[in-house]
Amino acid sequence: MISSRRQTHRWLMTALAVLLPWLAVRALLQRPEIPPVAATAAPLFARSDLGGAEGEGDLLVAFDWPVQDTQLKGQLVLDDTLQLRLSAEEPLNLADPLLYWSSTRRSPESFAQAQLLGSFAGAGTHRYRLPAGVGRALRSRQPGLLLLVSPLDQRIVASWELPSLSAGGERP
Amino acid sequence: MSHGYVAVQWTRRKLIYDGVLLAGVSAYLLLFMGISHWWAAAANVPLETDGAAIRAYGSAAYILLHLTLSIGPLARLNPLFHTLLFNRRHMGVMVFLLGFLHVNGWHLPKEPWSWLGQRAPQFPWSFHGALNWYNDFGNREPLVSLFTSNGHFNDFALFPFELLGVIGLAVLFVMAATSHDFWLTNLTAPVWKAIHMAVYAGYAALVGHVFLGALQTNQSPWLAALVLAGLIWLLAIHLISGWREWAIDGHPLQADASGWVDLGPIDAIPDGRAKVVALAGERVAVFRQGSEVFALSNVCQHQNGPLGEGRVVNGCVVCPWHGYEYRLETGASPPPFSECVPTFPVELHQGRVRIGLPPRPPQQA
Repeated sequence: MISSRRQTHRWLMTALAVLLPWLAVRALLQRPEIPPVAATAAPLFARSDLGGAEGEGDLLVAFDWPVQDTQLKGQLVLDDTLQLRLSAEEPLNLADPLLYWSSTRRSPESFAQAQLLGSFAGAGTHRYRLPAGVGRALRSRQPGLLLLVSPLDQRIVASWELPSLSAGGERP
Repeated sequence: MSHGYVAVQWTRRKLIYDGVLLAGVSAYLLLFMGISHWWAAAANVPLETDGAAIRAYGSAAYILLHLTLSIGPLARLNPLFHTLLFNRRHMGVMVFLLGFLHVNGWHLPKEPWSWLGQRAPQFPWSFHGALNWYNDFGNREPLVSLFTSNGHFNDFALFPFELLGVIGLAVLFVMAATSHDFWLTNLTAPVWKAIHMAVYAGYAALVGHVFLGALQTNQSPWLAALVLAGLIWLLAIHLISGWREWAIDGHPLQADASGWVDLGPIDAIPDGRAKVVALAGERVAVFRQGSEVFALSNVCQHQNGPLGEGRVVNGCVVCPWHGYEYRLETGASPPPFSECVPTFPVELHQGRVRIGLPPRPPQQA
């Protein structure tokens, strides 16, 4: 009995001695140049100063964005900084959706070059403090696109061209 | 509990062992957090304290798992390491606890307050575990998010390493839950040891968890080299000790026409020690005490430790793992204990030791 278990142990360790170094070396060799980051981790938002914005501020532009079977209500608000507020009455049928901004006019095939604004998980109003680059683009004639991304499927679910602040937009 | 179960008492050695273990783990965690704070201050960047604590507990569990799994083969290679072996189950339980804290943080220890409808105190060492810290920012429950947010099973680089961690932790839980002597006694040592062989599957899962997870984001070559060295060390000592054992198991002795097996001259066995041979599919420990020889099964009834590596004290062989004793003449433990091992007929023939088959059944004192 003990002898057979020693034999099992010996063959098990021999198999692991082949499998694990192979796995380890392959994992190390395939490391991406830019480390993957858990996109929903709070430190990412905090470090990038993309945490939820507070306060009322001045409404600059309001817009509706049809996504799936619902209309998202968007607002660009100027408080201390430029903010985007996006509301959903019902949670979208997506796992942990993320909101990105892309500077291109056309919907890109990949969101790799887009800038993460934050998580759009759950119902209610989500507030995003917009980075300076987005603010500059909004005041130009090419304000860029909002992209709703499913990290699970690694695809863009919906896109919406933002109204330009220089063109006036739809003022309330 | 079973009527046959007798609780093993705490001893001074056990308390010292556990004290050193706790002190070592605490020192590591404090040092890890201290260095993290110092580094963040020096680099003038905000420290993500929860992330640092998650890494501290995770790395502590991973290092301690390596130490725990090293003790067995090291004890096979050098008897000096027997002193670490007798209480290594507590190290295994500690590995599970550290792994659990890595995942769950200090949520569970605060639960009793919520059961009583009270607000839990804010421990200074409290932190969110990896489950909440990385999976509680969406519209799904953290556990649901953990199991559904990454479905790249066909992609090596993006493989859901978290699930490998879950598998490893589940195995460690089974090990920890069944580590007590109560289970050892009631499951019997062979079944218990077969269950605990699963720790190697758990270890493999945790190696995958680390290489496909932490080492993808932390790209320090030193860390990769350290983790790789730990893996190679552990595999090497297991393989060396395993194949050294094969030198005995792979060459079983055969009985001659008279039914006896010749073991060579009595002088080849050191006084008070044993020679271990493979016979009839199992190992036999042949002890010499002065001019007398005794042959017992090499397998201790407690945890199947190697009796042949034990010393003879007061006519009893003492198992080097946990100190269980068996009389050389009968194979029975001295009263009040009831364990016993089979013995073999043995004789001295012209200065040479010969043992016979079949073994005598175990006989209680």
